[in-house]
Amino acid sequence: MKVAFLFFALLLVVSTAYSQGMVAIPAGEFTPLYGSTKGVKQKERVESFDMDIYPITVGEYQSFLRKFPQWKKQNIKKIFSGKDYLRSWKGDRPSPTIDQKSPITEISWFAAKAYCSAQGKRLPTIMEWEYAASNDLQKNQDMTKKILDWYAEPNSERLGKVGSTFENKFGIWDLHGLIWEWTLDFNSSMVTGESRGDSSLEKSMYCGSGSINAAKVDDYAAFMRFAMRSSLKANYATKNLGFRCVRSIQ
Amino acid sequence: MKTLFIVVISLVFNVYAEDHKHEHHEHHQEMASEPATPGESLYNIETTWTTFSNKPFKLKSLKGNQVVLAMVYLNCQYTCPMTISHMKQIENSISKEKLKNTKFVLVSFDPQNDTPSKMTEYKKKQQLNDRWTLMTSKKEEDLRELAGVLGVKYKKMADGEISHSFMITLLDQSGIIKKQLIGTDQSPKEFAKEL
Repeated sequence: MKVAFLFFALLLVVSTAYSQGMVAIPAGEFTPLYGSTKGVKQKERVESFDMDIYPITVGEYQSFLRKFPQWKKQNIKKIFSGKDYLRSWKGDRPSPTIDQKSPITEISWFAAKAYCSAQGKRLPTIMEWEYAASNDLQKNQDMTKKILDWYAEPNSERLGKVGSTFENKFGIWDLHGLIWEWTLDFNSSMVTGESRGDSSLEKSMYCGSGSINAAKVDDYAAFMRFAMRSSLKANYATKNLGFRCVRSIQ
Repeated sequence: MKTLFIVVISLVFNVYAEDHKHEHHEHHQEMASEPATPGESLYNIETTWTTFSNKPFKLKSLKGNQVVLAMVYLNCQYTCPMTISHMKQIENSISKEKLKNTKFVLVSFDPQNDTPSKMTEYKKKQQLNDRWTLMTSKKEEDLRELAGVLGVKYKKMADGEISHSFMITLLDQSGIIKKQLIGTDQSPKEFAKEL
């Protein structure tokens, strides 16, 4: 009976995560791009969490808007979004050329946060996102090349469907090759050790000394993601920036 | 065994139902919020902060005041004392008449260390009067949201320091950003002219 109980308890945990389209990412350590302090590589421990298998789709975002009309294009508070929010939408509807199964983009950080929060979830931290994605890159030059090739391509007019790129070792789809993704703490990228003024922000990242501080100088793809995040503001909405949600495992 | 299965199933549904109840609740709250808040106002932020006196606090309760606000952390050795001294200079540069409707707010990035008692102690040590409020939130999302609205960047460093933008923001009486002092080389006296 005890075994049966454990089994069902496990089933409950797995099924609640799975029914919401998530998989568990086991705790572990990895060396993030900027994990080094004064030249010493620093491993970062990431606790286990559930992560959405796919980025949030247009269809899913539309159902969210039905429940939370304050996030509709015509209702959203200016402080939570710039003019590009759902830019290609006509009122309540996405442009007819957009597939319901394609990832939702043109949304601000605030909107992404509100969406996750409505599901009882949250946005992943940069560390969680990079950790989930790092698995694909270790000793895999092909993968790195694929990612860089994708970064080098101009935006395609239409985004593919979620689940159309590839699945990584954790069972997560589309971390690379479809869209860029919002993270909870995107506004922590590119801050120097000392903050005597915003003019000094980002200096250590691009000047020679910054590259030396980076733990993995050959991970250009991660450099690009950090650079991209640092260029964002929370009210930005662009055509290739979407998101997925996570949940801490208690 | 069958019963156990039913229990498990109903548990799953309960969790689901709870989620939905929560959504609806939030939804009604949103609908009930006062229509007078302009879309650009910081008072659209719904976060409940915890103050130095361990009381819940909503930013919109500052409505009607001019607000001078900065995000800081109290263990900070370098820029935060400077932020506070700048804010004190602003306070000292404006007329008594204007001071009546002016508030000074410090929001801490560091809820683990900056507990209400720590904030109270700091307020005393710095001799901050009743126009000053210190607050924080244990939810990183809340801190990131405020930082996002203000354009503040911050990062917790391995040594416990928090690297962050140096920024003081002035809100008008409806909570809209009127002016920001960015970087340490701007003059607080010039800034005070905006109040």
